[in-house]
Amino acid sequence: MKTVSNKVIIASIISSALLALSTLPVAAISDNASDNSQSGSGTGSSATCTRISSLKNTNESGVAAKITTMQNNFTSNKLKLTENTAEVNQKLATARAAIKSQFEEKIQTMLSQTGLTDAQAQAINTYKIDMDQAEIVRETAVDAARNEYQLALINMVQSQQQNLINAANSYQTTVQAAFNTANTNCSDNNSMSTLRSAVKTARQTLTTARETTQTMTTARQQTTTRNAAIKAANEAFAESVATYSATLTAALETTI
Amino acid sequence: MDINAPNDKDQPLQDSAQPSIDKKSMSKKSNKKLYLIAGAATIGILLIALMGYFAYGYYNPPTTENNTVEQSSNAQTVTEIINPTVDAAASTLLGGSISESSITSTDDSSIINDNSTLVENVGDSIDENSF
Repeated sequence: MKTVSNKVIIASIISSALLALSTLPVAAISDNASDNSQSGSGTGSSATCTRISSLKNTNESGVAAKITTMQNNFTSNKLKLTENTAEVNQKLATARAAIKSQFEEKIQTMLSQTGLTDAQAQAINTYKIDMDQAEIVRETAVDAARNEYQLALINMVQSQQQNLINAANSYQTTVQAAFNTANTNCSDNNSMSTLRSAVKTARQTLTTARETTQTMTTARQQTTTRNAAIKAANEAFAESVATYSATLTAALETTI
Repeated sequence: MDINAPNDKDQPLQDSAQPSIDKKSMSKKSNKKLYLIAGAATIGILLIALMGYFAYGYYNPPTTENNTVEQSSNAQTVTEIINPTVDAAASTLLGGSISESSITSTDDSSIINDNSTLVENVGDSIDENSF
């Protein structure tokens, strides 16, 4: 009785094990079927959802990083603009001081000439006063032209940067919305193509917004205006120099 | 005949000789006056001329330009020496204005392009073709 009982138990265990093994593939199929019913398109949809989710995380953080870099460099560029101006101002001041010194040396050379009459000395002094005044007029005109250009350029760059920031933010928002939509609809067969299309459109919009043609044209106009004003000031100065030099030469000759 | 008696012939002679002496005396006096007048006039003219000269000098003080031929010649030399310095002084300032132009003619368009490139990088951060 005892022996039979043991055999029955063993047989039952084996049978149970065999039954369990035989039902595993069915369960697997059942699980797979369940997953497929959730995604709507079988194994491919699941992969697409995973892919979209991954793309969303990667690209959204990538865009955010690029926007941060852009804004930091915008700040650097504005600072660079100010630094460039300061550098030019410094060079200009040094150049002007050197020229003034050289000019005054020439005047002293004239005044220290042996045998110079009072009238000749007076003519030289008058020449110096006139030339100094002409130089002041020229420098004032040049500085005014530069300041006007500088203000216009700073305003232009600030405006451009703000427009670009707005465009980049808009791009980021559009892309985020596209990824969210794709993520939600990842089970749809066309979710990826819709995402691609949305991202492409967002980039094209950004490209259009970043067009620099108008800004560059305005910048060039400002540069041309500045250079023309400086050129006019220099030409007027050259005329004054010629006039005063001729006057001095004539004054020196009339003493003969 | 009394020889000491006055000779009738001599008497007229004596009468006629006396007026001749007076005339000469008168003439001498007249000439002396003329000489005095002429001398005074000459001195006066000279004084007036002298005063005029000094007056002219007072109101028209001599200038250095009108000094002497020697000074004029010297001034000519000075002018010849100074004129190149005048040209050099003018050239110094003109050269300065030209060199200033090269300093001030900055081109800041690179910043505008750089801004544009930065935003382009944002757009290029996603490549939809790689999805």
